[in-house]
Amino acid sequence: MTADNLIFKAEKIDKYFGPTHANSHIDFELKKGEIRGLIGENGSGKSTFISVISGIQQKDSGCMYINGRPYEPKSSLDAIKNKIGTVVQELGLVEGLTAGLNIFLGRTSMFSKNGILNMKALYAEAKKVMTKWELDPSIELSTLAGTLSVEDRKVIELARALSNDPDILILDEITNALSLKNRTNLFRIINKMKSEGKSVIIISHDLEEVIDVTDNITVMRDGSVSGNVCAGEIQIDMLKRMMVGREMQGSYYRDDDSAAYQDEVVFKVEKLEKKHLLHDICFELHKGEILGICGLADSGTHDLGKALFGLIKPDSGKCLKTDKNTLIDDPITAMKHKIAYVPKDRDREALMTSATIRSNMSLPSVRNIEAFFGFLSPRKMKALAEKAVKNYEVKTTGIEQIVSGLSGGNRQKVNLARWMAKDADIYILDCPTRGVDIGVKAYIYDSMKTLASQGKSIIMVSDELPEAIGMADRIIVLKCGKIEKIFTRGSAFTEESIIEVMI
Amino acid sequence: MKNKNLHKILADIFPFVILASLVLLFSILTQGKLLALRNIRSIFNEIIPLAIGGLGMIFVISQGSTDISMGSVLAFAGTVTALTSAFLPIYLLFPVAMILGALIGLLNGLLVSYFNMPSIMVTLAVGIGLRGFVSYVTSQDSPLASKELLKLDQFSNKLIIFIAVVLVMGYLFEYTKAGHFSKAIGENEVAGRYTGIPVKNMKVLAFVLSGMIAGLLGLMTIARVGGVTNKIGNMFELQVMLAVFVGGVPVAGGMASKAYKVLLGSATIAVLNSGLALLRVSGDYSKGLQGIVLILVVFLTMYLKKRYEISSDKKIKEV
Repeated sequence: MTADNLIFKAEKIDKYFGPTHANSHIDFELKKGEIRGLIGENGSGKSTFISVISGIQQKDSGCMYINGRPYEPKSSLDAIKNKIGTVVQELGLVEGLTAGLNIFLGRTSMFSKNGILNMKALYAEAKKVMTKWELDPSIELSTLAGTLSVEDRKVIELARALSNDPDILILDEITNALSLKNRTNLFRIINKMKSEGKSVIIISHDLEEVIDVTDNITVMRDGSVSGNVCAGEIQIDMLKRMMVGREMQGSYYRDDDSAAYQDEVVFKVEKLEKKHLLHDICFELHKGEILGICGLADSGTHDLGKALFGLIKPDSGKCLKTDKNTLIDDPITAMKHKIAYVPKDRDREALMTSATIRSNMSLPSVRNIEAFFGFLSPRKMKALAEKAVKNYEVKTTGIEQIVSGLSGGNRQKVNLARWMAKDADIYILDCPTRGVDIGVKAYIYDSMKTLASQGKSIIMVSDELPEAIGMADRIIVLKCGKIEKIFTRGSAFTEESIIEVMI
Repeated sequence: MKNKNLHKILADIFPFVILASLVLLFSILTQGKLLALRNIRSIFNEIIPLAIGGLGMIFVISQGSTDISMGSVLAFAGTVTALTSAFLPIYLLFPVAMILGALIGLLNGLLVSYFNMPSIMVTLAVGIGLRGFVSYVTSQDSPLASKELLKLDQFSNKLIIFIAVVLVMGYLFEYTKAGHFSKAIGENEVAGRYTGIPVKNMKVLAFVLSGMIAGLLGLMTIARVGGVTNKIGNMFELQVMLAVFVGGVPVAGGMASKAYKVLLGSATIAVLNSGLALLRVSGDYSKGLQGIVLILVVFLTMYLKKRYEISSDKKIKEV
């Protein structure tokens, strides 16, 4: 292979988000006319790598080359200038602008004269793009992007990526939003690009599709490339093994390999239904059980967590705390009946980041401290905060420290400790170890084990399968808002078998 | 470490320092007239409505909202009580004024919380509407306060009302969950909802309290003025907010909102006004000077706060 037919090359790309090493020493080469698949578990760093290539994120170190020339994108516009077209995973349209404008977002100056935008020319050009690539002509380009269906939005995003005649087209999880018709059309576009000597990078969870469509496949794991294989010579099973085949860092997870919980049911979910989010969810939670909830992105795992705490009101169905058969339909009732909920996004949903540890710690316990005439004793609140900081070993200069000054791990400790201080029966934990280092992780797992052994029940929503497998008695796998399967701790409790159900 | 504490202490005591230096400055310039007994009474006469208004609005402000309608609610409740003061005994005028105010507050609160409208827009619109009502009534007739009602303006009576409001609102705001929850909403509304705060109801409550206090102030204002004019309570809410912010309550609300800061800010504004009046600074100059002094105060407060945050950030990196 000579350097001439390489269109893109990346050397030793590193990217950190806080303490998380999202991309670690990534080497990547893409040939002209090559279709490359990029696969890996959630959080393996695929999307990060793509956003580095397309200028959405800036790499921390490493080099990239296009056609042998150094390539240093500062923004996504730089990527477009270098003929890289990207369709990102999250919906990337400005909802308040029309579909046509969205196609030329950030590049509208080519239609403007003396500061006035020639909309007619813009729409004509947009139409041309749609026709050239034979994209769905029924999409009205003058409608607001926000009113389009999810699928049509993806088509518009595709049009945007293609509008600059890219040499490299990057598609991040696009196919699962497309119907069969558009999918076939997409594959036609991909083949057309290939025949013109242009390259495509496809990220997908659909392994069969990846094997079918691509020439070569790059597998990522834990932020680095775990292997490059030729699509024609690989089996799905092998790919899966490459994706998940890490050794379990056994020490801080549970060490038993069978489910251990009591027969008593403490919480019951009956036919929970929420339009577009959750469908026909039924399950029971037992005393002393750790119940994992897993699924791909957008499978509804986090929404389910919220619904259990009454934060999302279901259209039908109900959640019951079984000791007194109480209907849990709002957070206040849930808390009154000893249910705790630790949200995933701790800075936005959980903590008052510019307030003191004291205020944050006492927040969920305010009602317990209340005395005659609604009196809240400042002394009691202080004592509660001090005790929680001590019990949970939060590293701080004191309870008057502002939370934004704590590290991510210590913030998470505050987030958890204030619920642990409340003596709940049921803990709903949404990604309790998100963005914390190994030490804090181990600490959190330990306290989960302790809670379970005290007969408390835990529902753990997790984006990390190894964690769920390491800790849970049972795992509910969600797919498109439905329960696909419930696994019980035992021989079938492996990443391979669970991923198979997830995808 | 020392550095951080220093800045925090500075930020906390700064409003006290401002007040003390204003008192000192004007005492010297007026050769002690500022603190003469008669003048202290006139300073209190100015502090009382500002502080009562500020304590009324503190729940709203701590939640990160504003109540622009306070002056108009005051005028509205004042007008209605003046109209009814001829045939209602004074002890019934209190509930009439306060319930009227509370009802307007309820309207504000419902629109803000259940219809998700920005508080500044809602209260601005409601305020304009009420002002229209007051203008209409005063264009037909100028209702006068009854003789009995005028007695309410005696200093001792005002002082009793003031102390009662400080005790009740201060307690509610600093020592009950209503106050605690309001501050938490100002810090992070989502986190509040996720930890079981009835956010919507707390917002309604805040506006009801603000309206109720505005009603009370309406009664007190017509007692002082003797009747209703079109101008009554005009821009009052802005003076109140100024006092609250000068006292050190953050504009965005949150945990740093404190009842004592309202008193401090009201005193600062009152001393400033009184000092300038004693120096016989003419009205126009006085307003201009007031503006300059207030901008300085706000600037210094913000500057210190920022310094404090930067220094605590640095420290964190060291830890």
